[in-house]
This record gives sequence, C-alpha cells and structure tokens, in this order.
Amino acid sequence: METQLTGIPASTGVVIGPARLYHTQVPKIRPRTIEPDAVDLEVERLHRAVAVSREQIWGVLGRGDAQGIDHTVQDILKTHLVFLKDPMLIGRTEQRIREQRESAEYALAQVVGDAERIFSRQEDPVFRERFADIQDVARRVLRNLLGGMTDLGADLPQEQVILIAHDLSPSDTATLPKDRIIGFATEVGGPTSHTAILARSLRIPAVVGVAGLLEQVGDADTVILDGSHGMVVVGPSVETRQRYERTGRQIQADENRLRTYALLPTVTLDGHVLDVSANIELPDEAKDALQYGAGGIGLFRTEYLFMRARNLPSEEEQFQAYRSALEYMEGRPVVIRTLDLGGDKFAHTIPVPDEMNPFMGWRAIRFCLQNRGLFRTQLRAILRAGVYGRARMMFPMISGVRELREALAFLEEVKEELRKEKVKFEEHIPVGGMIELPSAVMVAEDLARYLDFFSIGSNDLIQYSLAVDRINEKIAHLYQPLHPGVLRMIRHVARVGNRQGIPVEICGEMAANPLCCLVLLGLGIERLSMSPVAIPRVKAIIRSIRMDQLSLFGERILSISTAEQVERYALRVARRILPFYPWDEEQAMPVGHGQPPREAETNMDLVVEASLRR
Amino acid sequence: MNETGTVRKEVVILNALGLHARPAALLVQAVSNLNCKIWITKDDYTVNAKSLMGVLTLVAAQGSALVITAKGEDAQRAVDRVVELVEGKFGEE
Repeated sequence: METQLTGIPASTGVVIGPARLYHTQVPKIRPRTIEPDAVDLEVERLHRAVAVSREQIWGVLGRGDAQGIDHTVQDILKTHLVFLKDPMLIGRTEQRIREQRESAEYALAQVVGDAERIFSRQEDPVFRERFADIQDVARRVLRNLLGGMTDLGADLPQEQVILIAHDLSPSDTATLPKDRIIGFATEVGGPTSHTAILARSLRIPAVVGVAGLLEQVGDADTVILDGSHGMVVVGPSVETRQRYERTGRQIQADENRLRTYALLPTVTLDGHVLDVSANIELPDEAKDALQYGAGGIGLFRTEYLFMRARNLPSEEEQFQAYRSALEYMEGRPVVIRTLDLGGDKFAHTIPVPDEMNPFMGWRAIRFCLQNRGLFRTQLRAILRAGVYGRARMMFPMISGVRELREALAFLEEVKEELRKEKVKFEEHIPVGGMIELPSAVMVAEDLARYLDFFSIGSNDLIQYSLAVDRINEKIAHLYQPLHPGVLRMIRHVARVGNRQGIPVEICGEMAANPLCCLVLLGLGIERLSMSPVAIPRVKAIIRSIRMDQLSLFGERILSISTAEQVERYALRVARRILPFYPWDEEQAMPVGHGQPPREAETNMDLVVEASLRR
Repeated sequence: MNETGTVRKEVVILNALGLHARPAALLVQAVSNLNCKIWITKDDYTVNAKSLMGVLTLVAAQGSALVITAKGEDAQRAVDRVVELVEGKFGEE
C-alpha cells in the first residue's frame, strides 16, 4: 500500500531506493535495582561504556580530515570528550549507582533528565542548545551500555540507501558512510537543521520534519524521496513510481537542454546585456555557480558558516571561506551579505522559536549592531578577503537611514583598525543594502545616497508587505509575488536606483520563476540572482526576448489591481513574446510544499499559479 | 589566600557571548587536572568548575559577576588560570 508523507523540502532532487532506519533514540529504560554486592560491577560497567565511547570518538577524530569531517564537527566531538569526564554527568551517575543502587542505564538517564530540566529553564537559546550535546554524548554511552548497537555506518548494508531517522546529530553525521546514502528523511528539523545543511552540501535530496515517519517506514521498504516538494512516498504504486521516474528523466532532459545556455552571454535579442548571478550558502557552491553560467555571486549567505558551527567561526575561518568563494569566481563580483541571523536561528536544534515573532525580532543587522564583537570579526574577514577578487559587502534588513549610517560608521571604524594594524584589505569595497522592508522601499531615495547598490530581497519583502507567513498553510495562498503592492514597490526601487545611478538587483526566489522573471524585467530590474540550477533557464528566456517588447508590458502591469489578473495578463504576454518556450512543461519546476509533481497534460494556468505561490 | 588554603576571587565575564560552549570547555579543561576543588558561584548558584555541564548551567553572559573559590594544593594556580582566561576574553575578538 502506498503511503504519502509530507515534510519540509530541505535539499532538492528525487531519488528512489530502499529505506534504512537509523534509531537515534534510545529505548525507554526501566528502573532496575542492583544487588548490593553487584554495585562495584555496575560502576565498572559504566566506566567501561564511557571508555568505549571515548575510543569511538577518538576513532572518528583520528581519521579527522582524511575522512572529510568538518572541523566544527570535530570541535563538537572534542566537547563530547570533555563531557565524558564530567563529574556532574558521569560522577553523578556513579553516585546514583552506589547510593540508590540503580542500574547504570537508569542512573545515567536520570542524570540526563535532571540536566534537561536545568537547561530547559535557560532563557538564552545559545546555552539551552548545549543540552543537545549532553543528550548526544549520553546516548552514545547508553548505546554502549545496552550493547549490540553500533555507530551508524558499521552496520549499513553495502547498497545505497535512503536514510530514515528521527534526527541526526553532528556526531551521527560525522560517522556516516556518505557514499552509501542517496537521500535523507528525518522526523524533526527545519530547512536549516544539520541534516538539511549536510544534504545540500552532499547534493543529495532531503526531506525533514516528516511527522510520523518512523511509524510509516520499515527497513528495506522502497521509498521515493522528493526533496524538491517535501514528499516521502512509502511503498509507491507502479504508477507513482513511473510518474516519478518520468519526472526525473524530464528534469534531466530539461537540464541537459538548458545547460547549453549556461555559458552563453546574458543578452537579449535587441542587445541589452543583463546580469544573472547565483545565490550560494557555502563557498564550494561557487563552483556550481560557474558551471551553471552565473555572472557572479549575487548573494553569499553567510549564515551557514555560523550555523554549521557550534562555536562562532573565527576571523581566519571566515576569511578563508570568503576568499575561496572570491577565488573560485575569478574576478566576477561576489556579494557577501553580513550575518542575517537572529536569536532563533542560533538555536537550530531547538524547534520552538524563542521570540513570539522572530521574523520581526532580534535578527540580521539589528543583531549585529548589538553584537559588535561578532560583527567586527565578520567585517574584518570580508574586508581582508576583498583583496582576492571583486568583493561587495551587503547589509541585510536595513529599515532606514539611521541604522544604515550606524552600520557604515562601524565599517569605517573597522577599516581604520585594519589600517592601523597595517593589515591588507579592500579599502574601496562597494557596500549595498538589502531592500526587504516596506520602510526601506519608502526611504530608498535617502538610502541610495549612502549605498553603491540595492538588492531587493523579494522573499522577505513579500512576507513583510503582505503580512504573510508562508510557512503557515492556512494563509500560504496569500503569499503572492505578483501582488500589485509588491510589484509597485519593486518598480519604485528600480526607478530610484536608476535616478541615483546605482544598480538594483533582486535575489529572491521570484527571480528564478520564468513568468515572474519576465515581469521583473518589465519593471526595469536588470540584475537577477537565484540558485545556481535555475540560471540556465532564465538565461534561455533572456536570450530569446527583446527588451522593447517588455517596456509597455511593465507599465500596463502596474495598472492592474489584483495578483490573479497580473498573472493572467503576464502569461498571455509571455506566450506571445516567447511562443516557443515550453510553458506547458512547467511541471518540472518545484510546485510547492507537499504537492506531488503534476501530470504532463496539466492545465498551464494551474501550474503557473502553483509555481508562483511556492 | 585565607583559612586552610582557600582562594577566592571575583571576576566579570568580558567576552561578548559569555561563557558559552567553547569558553566553558576551555575553562573546565584548564582546571580539571589540577589538584584542588574549585567552584564557581553566580548570584547564589554554585557549580563545580571541573564540570562542563555545571559551568554551562551558570548561563554567564557578558557582564556576569562570578566568584571563583578553590581549595587544595593547586588552588591558587587554578584560580589564576581562570582569571587569565576570563580577562583574556577566552581568546575571542
């Protein structure tokens, strides 16, 4: 029987393969009383399990970089070694065995339970998160106490599997045999969980946050994992399987066809040169960006450098990361966005946000301006790396002039510091601001006086101006990129940029959507930045149109009063100016959370509509 | 140094992020092999400074005042090491 489960798409792609369950959770441990004369033996059993745990960790650390283990994961494992000597963890467990005559497993579980109570009271998520380390290390000791459970990897079959787990900790992923895993699905976690980031860096599909996953999937069950739509299909029917195989082939065929466009110049039929750049999260992705024909990096999100690590990345680590992205890009511009992280995003292992309204909370530039030490480190790293290519710096979530001036003054301070230290850095780094708050749109004219470029963050701009949290299913249909309110704001920013002579880029998902892309060009946006894989398609479109066909189109669109009408009108125009574009094959595009790919004969309007709302 | 080799010292956490994982681990490692008992007190909460779990539960953010108390042969050395780490902002920034 086929079962479809939905979760959060965390890493794109579709795979079909056998499931492999990995039990990271420890079975419930029942109290067991130890005979008085067996107490010493029980204590010894505990210490043996601790010793085995230490050996396992040293084993992983010993293999170290040879196995490609991230140094941040190494740091975590080193912390685990400290916990294995901890008098509050191991010492108290021993004390409980001796005094209460509890079994080692039960005593340890109780101690961890006490710790959980202490940590869950902490208000600061950075501290609360540390509990995950204690749980992780305790789980390892428990597994060794219970015996028969080995590290993931040792007991994986040789064939390639889709790994199914409740959650994966950094120490789990450190020991993964990565060559044998073709996809991940986990019960918990969000798009920035450790599993999600790992999957993206391995370029294999992942779906996270799948409720009820472990009850529905059995070992060796055939599973379809659709990381683009957040779907897990267990025991697929022949038809479903064929549909997915067809979709997979079509994606491949589309990709091959589009790849031919990747390395051609981004120029319209009437000679307008536009720019299509890539959004990346890790320095290595710059290689993909080049392969897919990016003119530069329009958005280097630096959050991931921070989220991968349990500790803050040092200036040197950041410097190396920025430098390598710049070097990969060989003189093409690279826009490095300063940290767009908030209180909630630091605590990615904790599912519950700590602010009532984290998107409007302590994040991005607000956070950085109040954490000058951390901000200084990042600015220094970017300035220093700037020598190795065409670096640009960008501040996220600017709400107005005052905030921007504060950030710029601090940047000057940091530059002065570097000058005094006689450290080599890029003195004239262009500085841009993200336009993603409605207030920034309204004061764009004023902001432009301080900035070298604008970048419209359409995802947030849509969310903030329509007051729609698109994660919320009940209102997801209101998340409309083509809402006239949004389009008029974008038009305003484009005009301001034009008047003030500064470039305006757009770096949201909207830019990658073929229809939205035409609309944006019509509104006067000439620089688009998107995920690398989306670039060839957009280039193909740009190379097939004339800009003069779009100028009236943009004006007319601004007079339309509903998103639905804009969409219908845009589609009509799109079909006229691009009759040969395969609009009817659009189902190869991501459609939205939890929706399976549609059949080829799907009504075009439905597909476009759905893809616009993704 | 006062009665029976007890050393006591007050320090204020200076680094921006406080006694989070890395500094806490550094602190614990700095004292764990010394021959003494050592505690850290914040307000009226005291933990064993040789316990990472304990030190983390202090939630000592920037500006927190901590009292370090050590007893035993290496008490002075232990306190000195902690003070050095705290004043050196744990090598951050």
